[in-house]
Amino acid sequence: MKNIILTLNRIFALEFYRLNAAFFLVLIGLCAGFMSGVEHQALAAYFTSSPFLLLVPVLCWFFYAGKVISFNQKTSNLPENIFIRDLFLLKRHIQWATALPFILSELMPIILYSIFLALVAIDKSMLWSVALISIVIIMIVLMTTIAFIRTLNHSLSETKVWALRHYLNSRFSRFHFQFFIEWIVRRDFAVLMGTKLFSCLLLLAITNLYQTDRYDWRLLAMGLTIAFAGHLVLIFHFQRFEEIYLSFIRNLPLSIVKRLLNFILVFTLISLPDFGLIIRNFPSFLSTGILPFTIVFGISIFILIYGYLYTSPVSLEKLIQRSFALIIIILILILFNIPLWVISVVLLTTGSILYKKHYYAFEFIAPLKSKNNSQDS
Amino acid sequence: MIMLTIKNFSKSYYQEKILSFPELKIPKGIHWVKGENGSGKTTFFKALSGLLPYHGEISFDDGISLNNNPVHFRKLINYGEAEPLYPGFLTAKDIIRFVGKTKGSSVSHQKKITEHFEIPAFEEKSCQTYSSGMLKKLSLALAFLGTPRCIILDEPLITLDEHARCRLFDMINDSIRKDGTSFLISSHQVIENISIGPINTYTIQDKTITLA
Repeated sequence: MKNIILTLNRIFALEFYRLNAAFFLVLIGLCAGFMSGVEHQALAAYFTSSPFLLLVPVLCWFFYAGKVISFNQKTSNLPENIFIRDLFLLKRHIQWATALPFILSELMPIILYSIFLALVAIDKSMLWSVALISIVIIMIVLMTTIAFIRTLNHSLSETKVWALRHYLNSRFSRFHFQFFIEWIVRRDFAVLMGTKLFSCLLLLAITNLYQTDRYDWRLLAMGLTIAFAGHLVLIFHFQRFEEIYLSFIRNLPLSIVKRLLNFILVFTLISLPDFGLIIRNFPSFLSTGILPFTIVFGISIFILIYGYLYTSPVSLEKLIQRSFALIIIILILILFNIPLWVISVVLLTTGSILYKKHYYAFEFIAPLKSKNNSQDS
Repeated sequence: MIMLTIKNFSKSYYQEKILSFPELKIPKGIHWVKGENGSGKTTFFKALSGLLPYHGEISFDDGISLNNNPVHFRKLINYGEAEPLYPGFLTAKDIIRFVGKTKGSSVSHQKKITEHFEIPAFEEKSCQTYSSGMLKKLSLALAFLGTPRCIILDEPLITLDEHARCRLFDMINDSIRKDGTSFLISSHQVIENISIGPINTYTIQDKTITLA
């Protein structure tokens, strides 16, 4: 049994953290970078002060549990993991004993935070909060385990297709630009949401600063740099998606310009909330001439990162490191008052040249794990 | 009559040469490329169809080259993968419409090809529900879209049933007869029922390709 537990841990828990490393990095960055220990305690005390406020972390935990359940289902259905289904031959209590350790590992971030909240609640003598937190966490663990056991025991059941999906499939066919957007929504919704929340909240905070003081355009430009460079995980996923699942498009007679325009269209659509926010909250005393360049500036950052990805195969960790250097360079240029349009033109030209020069010469060697179809179902 | 000329071809992975030869002239017609597992057939096919980078020069008889005219060349060469992989949520119709549009194939032509491969029965379902045979039919249909001069089919017979094989051979015969399309086919099974010959056989062995 020990071997089964170890194997399941490797297949599910380790893979879950590996695939969501970027999400956890962003989360750690947000929590550890912006808030001190005292502020965390104050927030925890605020959450535990009323059942209504406790709903905020509880909803986040359920969202997280939903992600774990979805991941476990997809992973169980991968062709290379088909042997896991044999576990349903074991007695039910042994199934539970083998599933619980890796599920507890996957749920560890929310379990640890719930313990922290419970300790704060005990300190403030809010015993009903402790009871509520305990009930919710037990419910989440049970729900996640039951969902996994159910997957094991119903692995041979038919996949249902929603009537609406069937209707849409029969009436319309998807356009190229829709492929990635739908894929990321299905495959890594948390990364998409995390990126959008990060960029929108940052832009909101920066534009709100202009209501209290009269800063020049550089503060906004610095915020834009960080917010748009924050999309690098999505750009990384876009390239992997095209190279693994749409590898046949390399054989299609699409010019470099058309390929690049498709990328721009996809990321313009993804960035619509950011663009809307900038237009709506654009500081009134700044020259409106800057406004169109804020959008072009965002797109130019996307193109530079995308073009760079084709220079040589690069891991996400390395891309993050190198993008950090890029952010620093752009911030320095902004501080030196280099106009936004000049920076945009330089980034846009460099990115386009890199893409044009390296696209056909680039070869993506897909890791074996990614070569499956069911992961993005 | 020469259809495709390949000069100074070499393909390496991590400094290890996989395939290399000074020159190969492929005439119009149908060609069977043979070789053991791992000999480099798929790599060769993928390089020819512009899916993989390589060193050398590949060009059609009229000078349209993969290096200098990447878009035009890709319009003239189609590739049917050995083990096709598509995003699970897309339908066959989504992929056929997209590829068909880029290859300059009208919707009526697309429908004709999909009907030939009996794809309409499942074209509105998502790819994740397809069997290996259905995925193979989709990949073969994509290879016939547009007006290619050369169609490369990598292991086209695997996972196809007897009926589907006959349909494929009919389609190949039709394309040769009506459009003068050339074919490069790799297969571990014997290629039969292709009425329009002769079939030239190439062997990929010892990191080079030779006319058998």
